[in-house]
Amino acid sequence: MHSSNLGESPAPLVDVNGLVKVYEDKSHVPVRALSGLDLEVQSGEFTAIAGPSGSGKTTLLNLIGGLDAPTSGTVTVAGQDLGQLKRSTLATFRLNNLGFIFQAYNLIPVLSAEENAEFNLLLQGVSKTERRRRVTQEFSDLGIEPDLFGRRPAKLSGGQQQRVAIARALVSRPKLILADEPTANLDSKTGARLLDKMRDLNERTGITFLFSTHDPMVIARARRLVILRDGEIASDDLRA
Amino acid sequence: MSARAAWWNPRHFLVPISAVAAGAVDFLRTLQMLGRVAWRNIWRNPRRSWVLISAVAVGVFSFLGTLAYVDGFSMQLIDAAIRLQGGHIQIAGQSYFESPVIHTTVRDVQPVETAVQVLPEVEYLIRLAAPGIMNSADQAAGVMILGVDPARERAFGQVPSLITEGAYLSDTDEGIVVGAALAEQLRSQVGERIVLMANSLDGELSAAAFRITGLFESTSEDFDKTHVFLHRAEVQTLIGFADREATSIALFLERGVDASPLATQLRAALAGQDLEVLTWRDRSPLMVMMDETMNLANIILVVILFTAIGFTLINSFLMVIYERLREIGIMMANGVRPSQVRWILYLEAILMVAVGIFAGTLLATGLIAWWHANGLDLSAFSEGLRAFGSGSVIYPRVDLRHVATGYATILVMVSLAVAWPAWKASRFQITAALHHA
Repeated sequence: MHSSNLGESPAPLVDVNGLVKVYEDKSHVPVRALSGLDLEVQSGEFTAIAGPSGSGKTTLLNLIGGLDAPTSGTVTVAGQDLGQLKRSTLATFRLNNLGFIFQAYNLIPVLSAEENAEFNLLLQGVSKTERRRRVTQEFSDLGIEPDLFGRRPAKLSGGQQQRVAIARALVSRPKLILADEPTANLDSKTGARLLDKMRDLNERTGITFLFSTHDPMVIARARRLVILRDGEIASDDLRA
Repeated sequence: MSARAAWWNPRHFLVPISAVAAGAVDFLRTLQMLGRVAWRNIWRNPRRSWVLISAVAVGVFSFLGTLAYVDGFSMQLIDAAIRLQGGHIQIAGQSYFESPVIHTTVRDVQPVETAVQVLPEVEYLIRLAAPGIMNSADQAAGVMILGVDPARERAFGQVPSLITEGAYLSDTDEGIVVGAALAEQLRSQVGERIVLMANSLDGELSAAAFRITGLFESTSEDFDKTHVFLHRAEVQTLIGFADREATSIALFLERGVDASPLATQLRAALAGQDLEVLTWRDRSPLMVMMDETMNLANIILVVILFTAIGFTLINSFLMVIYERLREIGIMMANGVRPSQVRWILYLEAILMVAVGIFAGTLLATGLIAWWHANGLDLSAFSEGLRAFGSGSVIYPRVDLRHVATGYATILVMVSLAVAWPAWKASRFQITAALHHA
């Protein structure tokens, strides 16, 4: 087993122990997506989880994000064992601690760019003034022009949608952002620019980023690279 | 501060109150956002939404139309009965209502009048009543002889407006007003003399002749065949009642005024006078039962109408949640709680139903206003309607309490219809929902 070499450090932000996930495929044949995986992620990391298709990257991210339940093993995020939480409490935990960036952007189609970005803040009960301040700030940082604020997702390009999705993930000040193939649907130039923004945010704010990817651009920018193969960690390297 | 003294300290209450207020503000803020999502969701598939809204509008229109007819009929029936037979509140001697004998009277109407006159917008009629026999030249019939004050009856009573032939009693004449049906039965006409016979208070048989001045026709043929009207003074002479004696005092209230509190007030004011104060509800359990049955029938109507509409809602919302599976997954991934997912669907249904209720109410209001102004002429069924004590023209109207009950029932039905799809939506597995095309 490969393990991260982070030395003496405080309690990890993410602590995955003996994680097993077995799915049933369409023919009801059990498929083992993760096979007793252990992983620790410290606060402030900018980590990519790479590997071939079917290696368990997205499954691992979904389990860390509490979007799915493991067959066995535990996932602890910010000191909280997610398996101990009820659906409702888990939702609140996600709201206050996690941000998601998906390959398909996953914006809410009936809300404008601005409303999508402030969606989580509204759920958190943040005041209108503060919501507007944070959204304007993040949009500005991500280069979203004011004339796009009122547009619905269908009227935005892929790059613009992904920037709104990143803004949505950032405005609620999460401890951890889980990004599942965030550049897969973007052209390389847009992808590179967004990755640089995320890395910059990571350096400036200390927000932890965990990517699932096989995009070389993401891998190149990650400071830690975890390679999965057949549901197990094949390598785990820290970079400069 | 000692622990004992601390409990009443306002600060101890301020913290929870402010916490509750903050929670309420958060809830409303979230509700506003979820409501915005719900409202916009409605218009994503306008055709389907309009079909649902139309179904609700037609349901509400049908309900209100039927309600207006039933309420109008019911109110007309009750109103006619109240106006003809003793008013909204009736005051009589103790036990008169159980056993109406001529010896049980209000001995002195003066204190009763004083108590009644202080009540706002209440009119009253003082009546003497005694059973008797009315004889024409060749027929006889048992009747209830009512001694009235013609001037007050003309002002507040029902019968003067029901005269179909001749005229009502004037302040001075010594005539009698009888029902047209009774006159026909006794083969008598206006201007002819009849003889009234009755037992007087001292047990002797008393008789007097009267000329028929007018015939009336009310909504109740039974009433017309059994009631005759004379000057109060004539009945005093015939039966031997004292000058300030009365059988009953009938009180008439403005439409919609609840009789119960006024009756309570009168009971308190007349305590110790050996009198009984009853509302029409106390006196007529049959009418109360009819009124309540009508209310129940209205609710059953709503339940039937909206059960059918409810199935349409269930079907539509099952389609909706499968169409929006991915979005539901996105929202849940972002921290929307299962209960909030349910709220979105409830709000969507409630907003659509609210639009339907508004449209249906608007249409029905127009129809009811027209009906109310012109009346619904059911002359073809006039005999049947008279048997019920109703006129042949129904003036539909609605009791707002029944409308409110109906709307509340609609909302309950809609909530029940959406409950299952909403519950299903909140139980979706997030990753499966996110991968839904």
